[in-house]
Formats: sequence, structure tokens, C-alpha cells
Amino acid sequence: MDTELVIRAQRGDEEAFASLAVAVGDRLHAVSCRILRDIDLAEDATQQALLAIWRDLPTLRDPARFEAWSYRLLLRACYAEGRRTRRWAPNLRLLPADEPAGGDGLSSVHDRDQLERGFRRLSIDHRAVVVLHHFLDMPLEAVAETLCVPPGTVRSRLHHAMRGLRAALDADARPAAQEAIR
Amino acid sequence: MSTERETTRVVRAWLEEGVTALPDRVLDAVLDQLPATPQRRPWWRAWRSPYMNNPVRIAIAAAAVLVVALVGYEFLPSNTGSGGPPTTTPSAAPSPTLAAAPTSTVLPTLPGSGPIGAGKYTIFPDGLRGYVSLTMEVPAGWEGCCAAPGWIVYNGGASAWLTGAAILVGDVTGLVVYGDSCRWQSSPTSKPVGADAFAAALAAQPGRQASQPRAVTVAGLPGVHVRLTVPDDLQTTTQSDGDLTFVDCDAGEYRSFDGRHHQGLSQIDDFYFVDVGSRTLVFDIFSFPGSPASAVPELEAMLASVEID
Repeated sequence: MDTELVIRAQRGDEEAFASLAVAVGDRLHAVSCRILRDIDLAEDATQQALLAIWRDLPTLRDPARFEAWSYRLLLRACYAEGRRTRRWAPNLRLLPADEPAGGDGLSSVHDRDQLERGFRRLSIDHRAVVVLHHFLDMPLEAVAETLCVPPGTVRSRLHHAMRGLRAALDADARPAAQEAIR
Repeated sequence: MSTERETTRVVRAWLEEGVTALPDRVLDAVLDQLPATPQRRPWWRAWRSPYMNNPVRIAIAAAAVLVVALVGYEFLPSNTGSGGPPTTTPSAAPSPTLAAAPTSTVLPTLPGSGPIGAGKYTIFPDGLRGYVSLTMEVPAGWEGCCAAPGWIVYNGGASAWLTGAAILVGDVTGLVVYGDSCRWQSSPTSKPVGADAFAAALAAQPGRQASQPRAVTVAGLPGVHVRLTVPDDLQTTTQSDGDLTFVDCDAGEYRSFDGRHHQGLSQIDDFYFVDVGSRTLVFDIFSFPGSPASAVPELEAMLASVEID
């Protein structure tokens, strides 16, 4: 990230901020889409996050840490969007795929469906860890810094989340009776 | 049964699918809102520059002092102040040292940086211009800070800012008080309304020394005082710019309330809250073990001189 742009935006330079927003907007939006699993919610969250970044930029102490800081504000917006809308379970719009799945990735539509269900069962805390680590390839220490939680908490959340997703993928192997019992 | 590695591979592939581009209309909406979205200026931030060996700042300050001195010599011959830069030792009996000292009924606005001539100044607290203004008597030897309204810091003459002290004035209406000053991002928060509630919320923060809130009078208005002390046993590191990082605290900051992070171990903050109409103002006098003994009494005298318009 161009720290000079960050510094100029900190001083209220709207053009510099526009350049920053273009540079980070896609990445932020990709993250919010993956966490919230709903395009409308994600657009709102990204928009709110970008405005929060603009508003709070002067309080950023180290411009070199802009990227991690911006993800932190994005996650706050995701939390807020989730609380505000209450559209979690019943009204989710699945994300359209821009590209077909790779041959070495998902084996079936069924896997996608199971993952979607499993992911939706996770809390935002757990989703955030999965997305930051497995989508952005952030090391766990960086995830911890971004989320402002201890690294041990991140490891625990990741373990719990991946266990849940694994269970979702394995769900088809369970007897249907298990579902009926609930 | 999926293996752990297989699950990771599938999840990663699944995450790669989907939307990645931010629609232009969202970006446009953000940019359209910028003019109506004021930035939060960091008037609560740690001050850094007054005690840093920054040649540019020193040059600017020196030039400002020279200009002011020349103007004073030209137009204010009866003012027999020294005309030189302010002494670094605060005087108990303030005397004009800069020609910037006000001589007319229109008071100058407190400068946001550089030496402040002894005299009476108008302060427009951050975010309250047009709603409330203050006047305050400032003795010699103090500096404005951080390009922010309402910051006055003592230049202790040392390179370390922990030898300084300051008073700052601001609006805390609607700000969040953290449940824990160190774990401020992960602890419950509250949004106290009014001076009494704000002081009580701060005094209730665990893990730090706090006095009982007590009633005081500020500028002739009823107010409340609470003293908070930053613990001395927190682990810190010093950044390259001299600022401190509280390494075990969220984001490396030790915070009392929204945006107010503290600058050093054993820092004492005397918060004076006062309600002015629907707003709650705070006067924060803060000092450190290394602050000059004369600094806090002078800051208290400044507070005692405050008048609210």
C-alpha cells in the first residue's frame, strides 16, 4: 500500500482517498462477501467500512499498517450489518460464481451447498478467521493482530470453524434419521 | 470421512469462487458522501511533535517567533516584554514574553502549535465551533499542540515527551467508554450521557486506579472531577517516533474512552467534566512522574481561568 496516499488521505485529501478506495475496494468487498454470504449485505458493509476508513483515517497512528486496520474496520461493519439487518438465515441470496470451479477444488454442487450451509452456521467471529486465513492467506499471527485477539483464540476459532465445515461436508454420509430426530 | 487436509483444500477452493469486484455504484456512493462526512481529527491522540527533534517544526516555530517579535516591536512599543522565545521554565507569575499576547478586546484564538505568548485566548473545542467557545488565561512557557484546538502542552525542554504535561479541552458527547482500558476492543462498552455518568463510567473501569468522582465547579458551572492513573506494570515498547506501544493491550493502546489513549505509564489524568447545554465538555489535565512540579499547578490555574461563552 502506498503510504504516501494514506498520509495524504489522512490530511483530508479526497482524491488521495479515492485512489485508496479503488486500490482496496475490491479486496474489502471480496472479504465482506465471503463473510456475510449475501451480496446486498456485503455491499452495505463495504460501503460503511470505506466511509469509516475515511472518517477515522486521521486516528491511524501508523500509515504502514493501513491494510490490517482497514480489514478491522470492515469486520466491524460486517458485525454491524449482521446485527442491523436480521436477514441471516431466511433471506440469504447465494453469491453467484464469477468463474467455474477448478478441477482441483470443489468436487460437486453438493459440496458447495453443504459448505454454504455449514458456513452460515458459524458466527461472524469464526467466519472472519476462516476468510482472513484461507482466502487472504494471512498468517494466524496477522489474523490475530487484525482481529485484536490473542493468537491462541484465532487458532481455537479456526479449529472450531474447520471442524464445523468438515462436518458439513460429511453430512451426506450421516443417516437421514439423524436429521429426523431433531 | 474428509481428512483435515482435504477439508482445507475444498474450503479454499470454495472461497475462491464468487464476487470479487466492488460495484462502481458503491464506490461512487462512498465518494459522494465524503464532503458530508467529516474526518475525526485526532485531538485525543498522543502528542509527539512538540518534543521531537524535527528541524522543520523548529524552523517554523523560530520563524513564527521572529515574525511575532518583529510585529510586536513595530506596533506595540509599550509592551516591554522580551520579544524572544518563551522561557522553557513556566513562571508562577505569568508575564508577557511574546508580542502575541492579546492587547485588544478581540481575543486571539489559541494557536494549535508553537509557543504561546502569555495572555488570554479563545478556544473553540473540536466539533463545537459555533456552539460553544471558551476563554482561558495561559502563562508563559507553554506550547500549542497537534494542530488541534484546545491542546496546550508544557515544553519541558527535554527530548522525551514524558517530561511534559498538558491540558486539553474537548467534547465527549456520545463517546463510548470502554469497559476495560487495556482490552478496550473486546470489552463491553457504555455510552454515558452527561458529566456525572461519564465520570462514573470511567471510575468504574477495572484494573486501574480511579478516584471517586466529586463535584466541582468549572467556569462557574457544576461539574465533576475524577482522577485516573495508568498502571505502572504494563509492558510497553517505544516506537521509532518516541510514542509508546502498550504491547499487551488491544491495538497497542491503553484507552479510557473513544479515541482517548494514554501516553505513558503512571500517567495521571484529572478529568473535569461539565455539561454545557446538551453537550458534555471535558478538561483533561494530565502529567507524568517526570513532569515539572510547577506544571500541574499552572494547568490548574489555566482551568480556573476558563470562562465559557
